[in-house]
Amino acid sequence: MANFLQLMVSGLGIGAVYALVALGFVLIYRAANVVNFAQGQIAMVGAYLMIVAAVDLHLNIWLAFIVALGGMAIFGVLFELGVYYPLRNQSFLPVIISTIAASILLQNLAQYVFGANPRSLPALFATQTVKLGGIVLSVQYLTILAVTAIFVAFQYLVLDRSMLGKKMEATAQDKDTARLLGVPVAFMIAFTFVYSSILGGAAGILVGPIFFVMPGMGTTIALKAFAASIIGGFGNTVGAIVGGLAIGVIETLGAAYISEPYKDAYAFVLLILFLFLRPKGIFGEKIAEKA
Amino acid sequence: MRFLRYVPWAFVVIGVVFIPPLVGHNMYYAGLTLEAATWGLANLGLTIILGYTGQISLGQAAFFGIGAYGAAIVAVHTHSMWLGLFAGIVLTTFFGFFIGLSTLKMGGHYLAMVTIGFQTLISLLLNNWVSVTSGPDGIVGIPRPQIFGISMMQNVPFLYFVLTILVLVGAGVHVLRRFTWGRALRSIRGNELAAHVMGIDVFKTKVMAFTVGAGITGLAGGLFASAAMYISPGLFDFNQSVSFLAMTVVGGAGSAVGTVLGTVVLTLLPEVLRFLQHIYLVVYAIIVLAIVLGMPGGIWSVVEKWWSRLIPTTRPELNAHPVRFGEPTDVGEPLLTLKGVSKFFGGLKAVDDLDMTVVGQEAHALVGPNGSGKTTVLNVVTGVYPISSGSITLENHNLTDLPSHRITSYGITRTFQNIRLCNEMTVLDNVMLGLHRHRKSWFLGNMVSSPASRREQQMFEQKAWQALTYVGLAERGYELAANLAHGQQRLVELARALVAEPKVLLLDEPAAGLNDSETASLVVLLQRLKSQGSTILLVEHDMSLVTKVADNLTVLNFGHRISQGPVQQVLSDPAVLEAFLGREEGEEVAEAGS
Repeated sequence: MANFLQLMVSGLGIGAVYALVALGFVLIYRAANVVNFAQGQIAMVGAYLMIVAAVDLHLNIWLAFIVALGGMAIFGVLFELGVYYPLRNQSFLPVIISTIAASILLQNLAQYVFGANPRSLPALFATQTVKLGGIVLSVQYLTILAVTAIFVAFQYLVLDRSMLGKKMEATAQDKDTARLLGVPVAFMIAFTFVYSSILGGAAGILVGPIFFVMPGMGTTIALKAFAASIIGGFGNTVGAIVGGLAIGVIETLGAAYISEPYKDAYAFVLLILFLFLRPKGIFGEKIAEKA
Repeated sequence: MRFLRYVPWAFVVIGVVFIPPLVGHNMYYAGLTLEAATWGLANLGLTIILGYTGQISLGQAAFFGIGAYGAAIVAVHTHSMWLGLFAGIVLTTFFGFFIGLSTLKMGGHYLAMVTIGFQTLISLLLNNWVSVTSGPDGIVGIPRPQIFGISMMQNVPFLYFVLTILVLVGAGVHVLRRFTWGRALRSIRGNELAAHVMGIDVFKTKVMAFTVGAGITGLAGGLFASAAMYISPGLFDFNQSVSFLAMTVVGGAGSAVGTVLGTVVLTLLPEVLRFLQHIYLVVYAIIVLAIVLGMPGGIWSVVEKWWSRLIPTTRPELNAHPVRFGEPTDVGEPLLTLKGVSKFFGGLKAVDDLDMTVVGQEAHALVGPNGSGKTTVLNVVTGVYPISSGSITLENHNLTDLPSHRITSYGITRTFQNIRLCNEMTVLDNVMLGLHRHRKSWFLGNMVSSPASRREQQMFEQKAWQALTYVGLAERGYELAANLAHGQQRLVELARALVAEPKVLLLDEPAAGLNDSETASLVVLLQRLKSQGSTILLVEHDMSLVTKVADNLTVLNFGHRISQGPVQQVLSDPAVLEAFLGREEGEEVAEAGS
């Protein structure tokens, strides 16, 4: 039982990382109708920024965290201007390829700057484990859960209720009407990229101490996050979070109880089952076509 | 300038003849050429799936891997590469068919995800099913085929073999684009709903695209295995799928030539950039990004634009025979019958218990205020929306619950209120889409440019030109549909519906957005259709157009039929006046008081 609970915590922890990346996916998809294939690399960029701030510049770990997230905000603007903005009036295909090219670019740039060798990233708390009534829990997984909870609370309690959040929602639902109502649509889209980059960067920073940080770390995370957003119901923020947590738990339990080599398969088997049995995901996506 | 047409083909032939002896004796160049050629062949499958049909596949490397592993395993055990190649193709077409089936329920990013999932599962299988795939170690000692006793262990003959296959398949994919099935595929990409309503079984066609596309990529995989003589799972992972996608889109996914060009460019580019050492992959990615940002349609789309300016396509001579469209029907006989038709959206009764009959050779107008359910009636009749209750029959055929393409095959075609054309196809191609209903050629027949395909193409083109002349757009046939003005786009839709030779022609607000002179010529056109015995069901707001064209009227209000009959009689019906003009104030007071 203790073992099971430990697995649950690490499953939820890794799932929270997927959830943060998936949330970024979904927000960008809703705002700009773009499936951003570079979202995983954004997490990787976040992790490396943290390494620069905390290891290379020897900043206090919390200060480094803030600096890295600030860096992600600037990165989000650059990403939007370089990858999305020139193609904003094009069909989905060139935009997808553009984000794919950006992901290749980021990965290779990271490899050029930081080298291909994995680097380790310090955790936010120095303590490794904490004992809770006979169960030994990893502090890092608990940290991930706490930070994710803060982001989610911010999303629903602050952002969604603010004017900014309502403008984001209006942009997501109907750009033309939003524009007519005076919502600065282009700005809202840029803001969404910034916010999603911060989410993705946070995911990278949080997962860094568990795995090593390396240029290729983004791909797997992105694929899982993508699966999470579909399972939850594409375009649905709650769905992205629930889907991410679900995938984290299932693959952790699957690896422990069924088979370790096929660890990465569980998410996709689940995904394919979902696509065939309930293609609109747990929470559904609003799709309508008018003749 | 006519000779210019043959220049590209001359280049291809020269390439096939001279490349093998030039590169074949150098291991490095030969390997690179074989890699580019087999990847190019693999990407031709993606051209069909993505470029033509618009279905995104991020699992193309999985098909490539299945083809390679299938071929390698069979060839190593049987010592026959031919058997291996055959097995590889069969296996991948099977998987392609299966993945194609998933398009029944999903498209867009869902399909992208299915293919990513498929890719991941195949990669895991190749790595972990050690007893069959040898796991991460890979398979060694894969043979090369023999032709007429000539061994292809040497690179030169094998290069001839691979390049020949590349050119043959490339030519097949290239010609497919202009024939019936290629057009059907492209219309699914351009406007899926319109394709369905024009009689294309969208689902089956997508499955076909996936099956053939996967088969081609599987063949490429087999050749790749045979070329390298050694394969391992890393060659077929997700990154390879992404790279296939990038190659195809950078070159121009919409054409076979562009696809192969993109493959060659992106295969050679890293090699050329190697002198940059550590940074070469960064530069590579920047170049890919720059090409996509600068030429969203791919390199070849830019070349094609210049090419078409250099050699403008000439229109065939049109004969001035008077033509008529539509299958003949008997005057006054009930043709299209709606009995108790209802369509509910949740609690909203958009159409409620509608009875209506359209008889042969009449022009029947369906009118009513906004939101009264007129367009919904057309959508239910053409199978765009499933019916909630009631029945629809055309002559003796029950159309209730049939999918759109089947309904079209019985002889109903329509136009749309919101114009639905394939914007990136020419006006002529858009009109020819209407002829899909009369196709006889086969998908694979189209790919080998069979005589039947060519005859059909010629016949369809002639018909389409006739229809374009009929609606007065003969001068604009080779333009892209997107470049036409709104009113002209409506006429293209009309021509597209006419060439299908319908028994009943459904027009959904054909005058919406037209100016006065365009409306006037539309009236003339509709009157001409009527005088030639066409049967028309018309939804329209413009009452002056309705009174000039229609024989009979059905009036809807809030989904209910409130009046039906000859035009003049219905227009003097008090219930109709009330619905259109509102009640007299006195009446309202009286009723409120009662």
